[in-house]
Amino acid sequence: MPVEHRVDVLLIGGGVASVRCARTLRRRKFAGSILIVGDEAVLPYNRPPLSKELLRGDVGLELIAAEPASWYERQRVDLLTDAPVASLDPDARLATMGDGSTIRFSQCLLATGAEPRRLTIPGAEHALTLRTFADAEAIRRAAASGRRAVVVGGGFIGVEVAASLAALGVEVTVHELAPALWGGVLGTTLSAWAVGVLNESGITVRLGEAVSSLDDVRADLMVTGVGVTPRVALAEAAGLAVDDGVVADAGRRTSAPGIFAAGDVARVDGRRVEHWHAAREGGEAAALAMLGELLPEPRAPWVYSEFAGHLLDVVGWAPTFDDELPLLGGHVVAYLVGRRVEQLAIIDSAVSVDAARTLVAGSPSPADVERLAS
Amino acid sequence: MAVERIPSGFLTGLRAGDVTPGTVQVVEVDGRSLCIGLTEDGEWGAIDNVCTHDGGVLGEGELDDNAVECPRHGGRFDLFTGRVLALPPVRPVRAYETRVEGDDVVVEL
Ligand SMILES: Cc1cc2nc3c(=O)[nH]c(=O)nc-3n(C[C@H](O)[C@H](O)[C@H](O)COP(=O)(O)OP(=O)(O)OC[C@H]3O[C@@H](n4cnc5c(N)ncnc54)[C@H](O)[C@@H]3O)c2cc1C
Ligand code: FES
Repeated sequence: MPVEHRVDVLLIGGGVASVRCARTLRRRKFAGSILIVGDEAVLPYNRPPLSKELLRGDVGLELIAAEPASWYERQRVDLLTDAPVASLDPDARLATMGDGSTIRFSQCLLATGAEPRRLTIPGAEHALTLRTFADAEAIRRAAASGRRAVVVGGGFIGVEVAASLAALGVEVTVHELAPALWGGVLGTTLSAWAVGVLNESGITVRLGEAVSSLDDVRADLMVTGVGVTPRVALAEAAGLAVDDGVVADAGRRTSAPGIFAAGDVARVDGRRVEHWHAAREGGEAAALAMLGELLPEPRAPWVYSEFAGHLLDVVGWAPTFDDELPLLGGHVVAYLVGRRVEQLAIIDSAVSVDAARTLVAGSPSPADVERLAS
Repeated sequence: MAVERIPSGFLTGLRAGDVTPGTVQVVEVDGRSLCIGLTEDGEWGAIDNVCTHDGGVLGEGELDDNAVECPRHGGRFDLFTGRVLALPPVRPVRAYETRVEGDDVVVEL
């Protein structure tokens, strides 16, 4: 017999966006019922450590859990794991689960995240991707017995995986199609620095070459990190506006009343930022909007990455830029659109990242940025 | 506010009645930057203010139950023991005995 549940707030997707939404609802004293449904088998967790601490060492799930197991009971947040949502009816405010049971809700957050893009070149089926805890364990197992690894894709994930594998003593080659790391979106100055850092860790970096086949690659382990696509199928089938992500406003409201979207799956005010802080802040903003509370001032996007003992923070938004300017002895790179700085890359916290994030939102001049150092 | 040493520790300058339960804040005591918090259950605790991962300011983070969350990358520390509860930090922070005397919040350094 299919079961029918009823909840006040349904959070679809067991990732950081959903958990932060639930956390904020409770911190704001929301007393209604909250249910998180996720299709993974484990407690919601933070993904950033998967390519870092988790690859390098034996780290248990409890150290990366978004909230400890006891939190769900204490905060009266129900959690269904291994539970894919099959369809969503925004007018009836009804979700149908893979097993046919249904969930009626008053408000719902779509936070289904993103999934790794797969390469279609020959041999790609033998390569691993990294999105989940299970993926990280598979890579670590392969690395334990492997001596040579090939990483296809020199983006955030590729660079971090390469560095973590090298730290385990694996000989690593990274292939990036663009002439610079990160697909070229962070320019050549930062890429040149990072290539140097990776080389010092013994990693070979090949830029500007397409990998056309993985069949004849001599490696014990192949990992592809060639970007992600937002998991919009549920939203699309439900008739929500989708355009490279579920279209949402600053309050994460979608085109359907009562349905919100946050995190990697959402395109908020024209930007899809597939990073941890965006998912965290998105879940929090959705909670406030659900409660009809005032939203905080939107802040500039913030991405962080960590590899080979270095921290990199990128704040602001400049998908394309006219110029890149190394500042403060090369520890900060400013990305200029016209004469204004729209994005900053900060190496090893050379300036306060929080202050830089605030500053960059106002399109400062390079001189304004240099003043951050004092 | 000038910090005062008293026999049982240091006055933090905080008045217990002014602090909202479930929050942390930054307090300078005897040249040390501390993250002092009061849980929803009314328990006081203090840890070093600087995250061992990359210097995040713990006193500007969030407190939930006994967990202080670093605003920089979401690492978490136990307000009472300084133990790491969530990555990315791996090294603990120091924790300090904290109590209320009269209406004064006092720490032992
Ligand atoms: C290896 C790795 C390292 C990263 N490192 C960094 C970093 O250093 N810095 C940074 O800023 N960001 C980093 N990120 C990105 C960051 O982790 C993501 O932006 C964040 O996880 C997005 O959270 P989310 O809640 O939107 O989605 P997700 O975390 O993807 O969670 C969505 C969940 O929903 C589930 N789901 C999907 N469809 C359904 C359905 N129909 N029914 C039920 N459940 C469903 C998915 O299985 C998944 O569990 C990293 C990501 C990875 C994979
Ligand atoms: S600085 Fe605290 S978690 Fe990174």
